[in-house]
Parts: sequence; C-alpha cells; structure tokens
Amino acid sequence: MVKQPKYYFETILGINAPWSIQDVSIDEKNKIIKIDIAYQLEKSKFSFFAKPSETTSQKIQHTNNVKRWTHTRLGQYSCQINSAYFDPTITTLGVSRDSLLQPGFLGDANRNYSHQLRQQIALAHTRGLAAEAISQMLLIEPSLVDEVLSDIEKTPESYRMAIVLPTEVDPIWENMVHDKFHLKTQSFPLRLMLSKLKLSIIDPNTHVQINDAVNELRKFFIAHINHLESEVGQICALSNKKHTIDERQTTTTKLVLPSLKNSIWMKLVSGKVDLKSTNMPLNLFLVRLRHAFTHMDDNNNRITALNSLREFFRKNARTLKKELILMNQLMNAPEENQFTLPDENSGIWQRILKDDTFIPSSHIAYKLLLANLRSQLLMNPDPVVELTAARRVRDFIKHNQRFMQQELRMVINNSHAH
Amino acid sequence: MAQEADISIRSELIDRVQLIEKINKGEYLVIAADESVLTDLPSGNWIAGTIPYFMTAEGGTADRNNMFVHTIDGVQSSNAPRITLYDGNSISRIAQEAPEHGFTIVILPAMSEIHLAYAQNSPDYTNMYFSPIIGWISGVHLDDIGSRNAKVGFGPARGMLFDQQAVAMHIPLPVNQLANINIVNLFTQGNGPEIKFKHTGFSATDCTINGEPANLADYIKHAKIDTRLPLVANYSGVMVNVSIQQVDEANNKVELYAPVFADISYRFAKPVDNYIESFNKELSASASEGISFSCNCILNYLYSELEGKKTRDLTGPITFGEVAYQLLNQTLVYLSISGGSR
Repeated sequence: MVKQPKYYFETILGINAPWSIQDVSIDEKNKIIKIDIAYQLEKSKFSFFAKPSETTSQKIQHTNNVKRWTHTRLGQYSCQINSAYFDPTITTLGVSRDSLLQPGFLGDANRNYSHQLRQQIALAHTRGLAAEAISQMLLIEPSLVDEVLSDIEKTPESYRMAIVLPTEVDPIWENMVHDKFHLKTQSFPLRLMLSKLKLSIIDPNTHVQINDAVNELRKFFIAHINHLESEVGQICALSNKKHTIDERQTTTTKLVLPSLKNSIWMKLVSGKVDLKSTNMPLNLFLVRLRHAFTHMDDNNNRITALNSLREFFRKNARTLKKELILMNQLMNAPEENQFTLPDENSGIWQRILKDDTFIPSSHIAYKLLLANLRSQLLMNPDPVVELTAARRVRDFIKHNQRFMQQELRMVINNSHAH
Repeated sequence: MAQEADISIRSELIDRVQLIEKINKGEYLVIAADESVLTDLPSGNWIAGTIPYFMTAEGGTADRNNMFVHTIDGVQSSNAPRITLYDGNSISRIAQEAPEHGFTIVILPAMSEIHLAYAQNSPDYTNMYFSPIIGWISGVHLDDIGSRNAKVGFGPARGMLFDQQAVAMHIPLPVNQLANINIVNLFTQGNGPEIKFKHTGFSATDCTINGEPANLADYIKHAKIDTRLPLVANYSGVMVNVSIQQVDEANNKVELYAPVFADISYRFAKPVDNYIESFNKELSASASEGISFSCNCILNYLYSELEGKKTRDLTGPITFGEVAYQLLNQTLVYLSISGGSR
C-alpha cells in the first residue's frame, strides 16, 4: 500500500490518533510548511494506563478560530501548525501545567508558538545561550524567543523546570522505557515506575503501547519535577560540568544534626568527646554549659541544657560545619566500650550462672546462653568448666553491651561486692 | 486550601485507657495492637491494624496489652486527613484518591482477598508511584495463627473491625513539606541460578531455572535452600523480596507471602550474617533523622531474633508485610517528612 505524504508528516511530527493531519501545504518561495491538523472528538480507545491526555483531551474543543503556532523547523523550512481544535481554557500567564501534558505540536490558545518550540527555547536558555543566539540557532524571530522567555519567567516555580523536559516525541523517553538509556536515580517511586513500564512494554499480555508508557513516565516527571533535578539533567544532557557538580552534590553525605536522644550531646557536655573546635562562641558556650551541668540534679534541667546545645548547633550550623562533620563521623563509628567489665575470675559471673534472678534480662539469646551454660555446669561442675562459662557470659555481655545497657550497669554496680 | 501548620508524626506505646483519651480528643491516629484491645473502641479519626509485635525504643517486643500509636500532629480542620475504607473493587483507586500533595498510610489484613488483590495489582493502579503510599499488612499473634483472622479497624464507623477490607488515611501536607518513602532491604540477589515464573501468583510450581524447565519445590529440596532467605527481584536497582511461606513437597508447590510476577528474574538471597550490624550500616545516620513512620517484617523479627534488639531510632509495628507503594516482604519501609517551617 502506498503511504500518503500526510502519513510521513504525522510520523515525523509525532502526530498520533486521535490527532491527524488534514492538509499539508508547502510554500517553496518563503520556505514555509503549513500543516493543518484535526482532532477526533470521541472517547479515546481503552488503554492499560490512564493517559494523561485523557483529562487534557476532554478539554480539546472545536472552535471557530483557527490557531496558528510556530513549530520547530523541518530542515530548511519553518513549520506552522494550524488547528481549529485546541483547549480554549488555557489562557494563563506563564506556562500552565496542563499545557505541559499536551502533545508537543500543539500550542496554547493565547500563544503563537508550539509547546515543542517552547521546550527547545527553554532548554537552550538553561544551557546558557542568550536570546539572540537562540534566535539564530533555531532560525526564529528574536521577538518570539523573548516572548517565550518571558512566559517562562512568569511560570510558577513549583513546576517551571518541567518546561525543559523533552516532549513526548523525543526518543529519550522510549530509550528509557526500552532500557537503552540507563537513568541514574535515587528516587524509589521512579525506580518502581520505570521497572513497571519496562516490563509492561515487553509483556504481550498487557497490550501497552509505547506512547502510553512514555506519557505516563513524562507525567510522573512533571508531577515530581522539583525533586528530579539530577534526572532532568541526565535526560536533557545538561552540561557535563553542571551534571558532575549535581552528581557530587547528590552523592555527598548530608550532614545531620543528631537527635536529642543521641548520646553525642552528653559526650560533648561531659568532655568525653573533644571536637577540638576553634569556634570561639562554641567553646565559650560549652564551658558555661559544662559548669552548669555539673550542678544540675534535675533530669529535666539536664535535658534542657542538652537541648540548648543542640539548638546552638542548629542555629550556627553554617559556621560549625567542621564540627558537625566530626560529630557525624563519631555517630557512625561503632561505640567504644564505655565500661570495664569485671575480670572473668570475679565472683559476679559465678553468681549470675547460679542465680537466674540476680541479673534479670529479657534478651532471649542471653537467656538461652545462660540456660545452656548452667546445664553444662550441672553435668560437670568442674572449675575449668566454670571459668569457661564465666568467660562466655562476660564476652556475651561485652559483645552486646549496646543492647544490654541495663544488665551491664547491674553487673558493674554489683561487681564491687564481689 | 493550603495547610499552615507543619504536619509531624509521633509514636508511642500506650495502653487502652490512654488511647481512648486520645480518640475522644479527636486526634488522628494510626494504631497497631492485638485484636483483643482493639474491639469496642469509640468512633474517631483513626485507622488500625491487628498485630501484637512492635519495635519500641527499648527493642523488639510482643505485647498483647498495649498499642503502638502514631499520632498525626499539625492537622488543620480546613484540610484534615481523609479516612477511607476500601474493598476489593475500590482499592484500585487508592493512588487516585491520594492527596495532591501529601501521603497515604494504608493497612490491609493478611491473607484476605484485598491483600492478594493489592499485592498482584497495585503496581498497575492509576497514579501509583505518583503520591507516597506507605503501610503494612496486619496480622495476629503467632500463637493465634489458624484460629484468628487479621483485621483492620475503621475509626469513623464505631471502630468496626474488618477482615476483608483495607483502611487508609490520606494526609495532606503543607506546600513547604515533602514526604518521601524509602526502604531498607538487607537482602540482595545471591549467586544462585536465575529463576523465572510463567504465572503471577502467591504460589509457585513450575518455573525455569537458568532457562531450563523445573519445579521450585523440587529445587528448594535438592539444593537445600534455606527458606528463611527470600527470592529477590531487581526492580531497576530496587531489591524486592518474595518470602517463602511453606514448601508443600506432596504437591510440589511453594506458598509465598507475596506474589511472584511472571517473567521477572528472581534469585534466592544472599544470607545476612548480623541483621543489626548490617542494618546500621545500611541506614546511615542521615537517613534516620526525620523518619516519621516505619514498619518492619515479622520474618526479620523472627529470623534475625530482633526481640530485645533495636533498629537504631526506628520504631513501629512488626508486620505481616509492608507497603511502600507496592507490597514488600522482609523489608523495613519508612517515611520521612522533610521541610517544615523554622
């Protein structure tokens, strides 16, 4: 079957049902291609996914006006899209969220440029090109570039970055869904979504069209645009240097202000941890705090004092970066032994082995160990066996002291009597 | 209408008297408790799930008398959370009904039809992954398995308990706050053969092992697979577990705690030597700050002997399955809320 030229233009421009090309006229003298498009105003076919255009397409209406939008060039020819079908409700200042979900070949009711042209201008601008350079690169009027840039400026920041996202015809989206482009992302929902889309495309039972998958993915990006900066940078191939900086920033460990419950505050106040800080206000504050702390009996006052130290760090975080880095390192390091356990020859271990009410514990593993050792001792009450059992109990508590603080304190408190 | 106050979540282990007081104050609550203490609670702004296992500040514990309660603070009456009851037909709308900006907490009863439906179909629900959905599968005390069903509680309707419906709380956030869901899964794919299934489902019989037709139950028996280790699939870098419930050698069938999906590549997990140590390495200090809600799997609790042990500052119910958008097994899921006014 010989394909009509309109079909080729539909393929090149990414015009799919329910949109179609009605007529193509070529003005060779002025090097303009004019494309008249139409829209089939009926329910779109069932799709496995909810198409983003399902809601936006419901707003597409036939009007008595034919809108003309300047589109991206086709070779040496400028391209105009003409349509009596569009969403007449989009008349916002700036770029509306709805228009981001529309096909790239359309434009807004109150604009003279297509969404795809706007995206190209926005991307060039993001890459640092001046308006004049953009005009020359895209071979469009400087006034049009200025108009687009002005609209971008007026767009709410909550989704402004979405304007640079490639339109649905850009192969990057298909490449992601077909796993030809590997997007690096830490976003958990994006990973799950990508996985779902990739599988749906290859699953013969689900009849998912690639267009639907692309629209779904694009819609996700628009919805979460401000949290996908790195991903947008990858998709839009924004400058390597910027991307490297972004990557470095996203892989840098975030400094954390420890919670009040964290023992680091107590260690700072008690002097167990010395940050070796050269920050004068911090050092003065710590001296004052330590002095006051030693005279505090009430727990509430102590907690207030620790909280005040934490607040000091919060308010002065920018000047205490070095100290915070060190604190974060200390927090992540394994806890040092805070206590010295009695020697294995201490009578306290024998008492633990003989009397199961002496150091009560709710730790299953510890109770199982004691039961095991006690039965060994019952069968063979040899001094060597006793010493080995004592050693095992001691080692167990030492190894698990982080989770057996209560038992540990009881052992130490009672060890003096033995 | 935008929220003004910041939303935060605090958690505590309280008794029934304290809980009733909170309910009567109109607080928005997510409750985990044994069924015996959930019955006949007054109407209120709460959802609940039956489970008597919790990770508390003192460590993992089984407690039939107290309840683990998450309280949603900062709620404005002009934009309050919505509490919804879902059945097998309506659960597919959960992501569509999530707030424009906010998050959803959902609880589903274990081994119910709605649990199975969610497990199999949730990845394909409209708007799934667009809005954070976190939650858990309610269960029972291990001694009650077989004699009691897992249930959920729907506060607005005189605290009725359901074993075939799910409950959800859709919580809007002010624009300056952001909810983020992540997981801690210590299991990674082991070096064993690639296993694939022809059919999606909660039980597996025939499969392919490294491309060759095989039976999973036979493979587990002959390869002496430790069934405490889950099957693990790699979802674009996210490791998703499917835990083994039971190997039915007589029928050559393996029952699972989550569905395996057709044509996904699975491998049995590498063993994890020390859960707490591995957990601490996996969850950096930075991640644990700002975590508002978390839950961990009963299988991790049992196999890694978490009774009396702590998972850093993370507390919450120990559950029969976890929800981080879709159903997960043997995983800790958590929600952080960032931003907020200073």
